[in-house]
Amino acid sequence: MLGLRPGAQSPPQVSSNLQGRTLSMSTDQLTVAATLAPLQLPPGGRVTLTAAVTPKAGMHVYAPGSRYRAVGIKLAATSPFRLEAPVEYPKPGLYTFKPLNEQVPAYDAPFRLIAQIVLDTSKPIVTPRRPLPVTLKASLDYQACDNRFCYLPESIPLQWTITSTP
Amino acid sequence: MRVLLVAIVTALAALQPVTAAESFKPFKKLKGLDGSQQSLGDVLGRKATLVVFFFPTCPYCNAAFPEVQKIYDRYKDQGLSMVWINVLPDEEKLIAPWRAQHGYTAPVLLGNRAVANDYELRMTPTHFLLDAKGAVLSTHAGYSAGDEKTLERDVRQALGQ
Repeated sequence: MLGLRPGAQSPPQVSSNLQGRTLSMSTDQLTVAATLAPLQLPPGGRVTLTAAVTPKAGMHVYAPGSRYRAVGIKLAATSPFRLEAPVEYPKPGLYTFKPLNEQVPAYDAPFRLIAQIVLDTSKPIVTPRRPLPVTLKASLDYQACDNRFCYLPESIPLQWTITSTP
Repeated sequence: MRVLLVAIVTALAALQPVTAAESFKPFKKLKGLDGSQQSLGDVLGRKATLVVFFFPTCPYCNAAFPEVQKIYDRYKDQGLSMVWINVLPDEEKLIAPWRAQHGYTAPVLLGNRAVANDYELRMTPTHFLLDAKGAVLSTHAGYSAGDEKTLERDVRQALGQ
């Protein structure tokens, strides 16, 4: 049977434990340091997820506004949280995609995505009488290309436990 | 130095003629755009088959496929079969309008990440050229201008031309 041809994708390498404030991960295409702050959430409060992304040499990921799959932060569908506002993106560069002779908004240098996150009040939430741990699950989704290949889209899981306070 | 090494290994991996006859792993029946279920045996051509893994918003697929379609048009009546297998279910709805927009007629099957994982795909497009019995003649990943000439040469060879 046919085995590996182009080479297997390496799974994300996580360099800090999932309870930490900053998660640092590396894939074949990029590294990401994702920070959640604060780790305590009072009623009506918000937390900020900042993803500092560094494409590896020769790699680029697409920005919103391109016709390709843009990098983004997504909250898990089952999450009791929601984005308070659209994810903030820095101004992208313009990547010249030579085979189609088109210019595409993309990032090929370090950039940060910022997401403001609040509890989703449309979902049943019990207001805690005492500090209660709540899991925030999100992902950094992207599709990376270099000057010859486009790699399959990836989703890097991000997870923190924060404390919901009375 | 490490970056250079990775670049060299990646470039070598992009184009790999297969010297020993390896069988292409048969995929389970996949749904076509018309709703029919097809296995590898159903799509094998009289002389050769080109299996291409893709998804509609893949930039290099969009660069390569006009040329791949031309190869299909040129050789489909000479024993070449072709099938494009989508690997992202969340892009299935894009396929019909995308084919219509570009005038693609090569048959499409609807796969998923599990199918991609079965073939240890890392990038798209990835082409597998098979002989009449399903043995792999060559593989090719990615796209650069001119790659279609290599592909067409391999197809002609597979067709005995």
